[in-house]
Amino acid sequence: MALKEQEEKYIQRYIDGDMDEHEKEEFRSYIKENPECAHRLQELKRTVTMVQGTSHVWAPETFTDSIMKELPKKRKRTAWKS
Amino acid sequence: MDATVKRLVKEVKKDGDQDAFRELVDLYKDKVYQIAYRMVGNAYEAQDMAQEAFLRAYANIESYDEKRKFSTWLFRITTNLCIDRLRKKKPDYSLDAEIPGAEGLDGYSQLSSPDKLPDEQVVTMEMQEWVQEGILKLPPKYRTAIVLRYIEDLSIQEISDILELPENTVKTHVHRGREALRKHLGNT
Repeated sequence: MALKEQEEKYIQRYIDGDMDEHEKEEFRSYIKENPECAHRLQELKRTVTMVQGTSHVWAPETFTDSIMKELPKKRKRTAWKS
Repeated sequence: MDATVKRLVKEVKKDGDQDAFRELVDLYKDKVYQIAYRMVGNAYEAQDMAQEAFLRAYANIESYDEKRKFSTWLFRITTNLCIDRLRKKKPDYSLDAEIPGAEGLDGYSQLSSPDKLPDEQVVTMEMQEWVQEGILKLPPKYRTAIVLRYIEDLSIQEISDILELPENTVKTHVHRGREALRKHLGNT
């Protein structure tokens, strides 16, 4: 069953940390009575945790050197002479 | 860190100091590469995009406004390059689209059941690939928001500066990306 649009909005705001203490408390007691809404919140939290948990990748070791090779010849203040 | 970056940028601006630029590359290469990798999805293109981002930063350093954070400017160049690249490629992102003959297929039905696997690491690897696949199926604007928010761990305000989009738009992109990923990961 689809959640109400308003519920979806509350869940998103809750996850984004956009609720003040009072709203948070209200929302928490609301989801206690609404398992479907609580379930959706759990799923979204889990999704976020999984995305955050993807391992970080690093630039290859040769990265900096290969950029430095591609840089234009150093600008010279006397360039007008040539 | 900020003071160091400011000094290095000044030196690059002044006379194109390449040693100072090398230090900047070393400071930011992993973040830039990571954004590129999550955006384009493979190491070869990621290196290409990340290198191009630094070369453009060097060539256009005059246009960098020192009142803004250097990383904001650099990440903007990076995400723009990646988005351009994605637009030129055949779009394969349509997370919500039905795959013919794949009804009922969700994250869990594709993965082996964890308790059948002897090695927990395998599950982790497969899970990671599944997440990466989900990210790559997101339309570029949602993908960018998700990568900056959850992989680079940036605030909505910073992302809004990088993408030059209102904060509410960034939030909407994060919400939609998150929702599409939730469906992809199939945790029903």
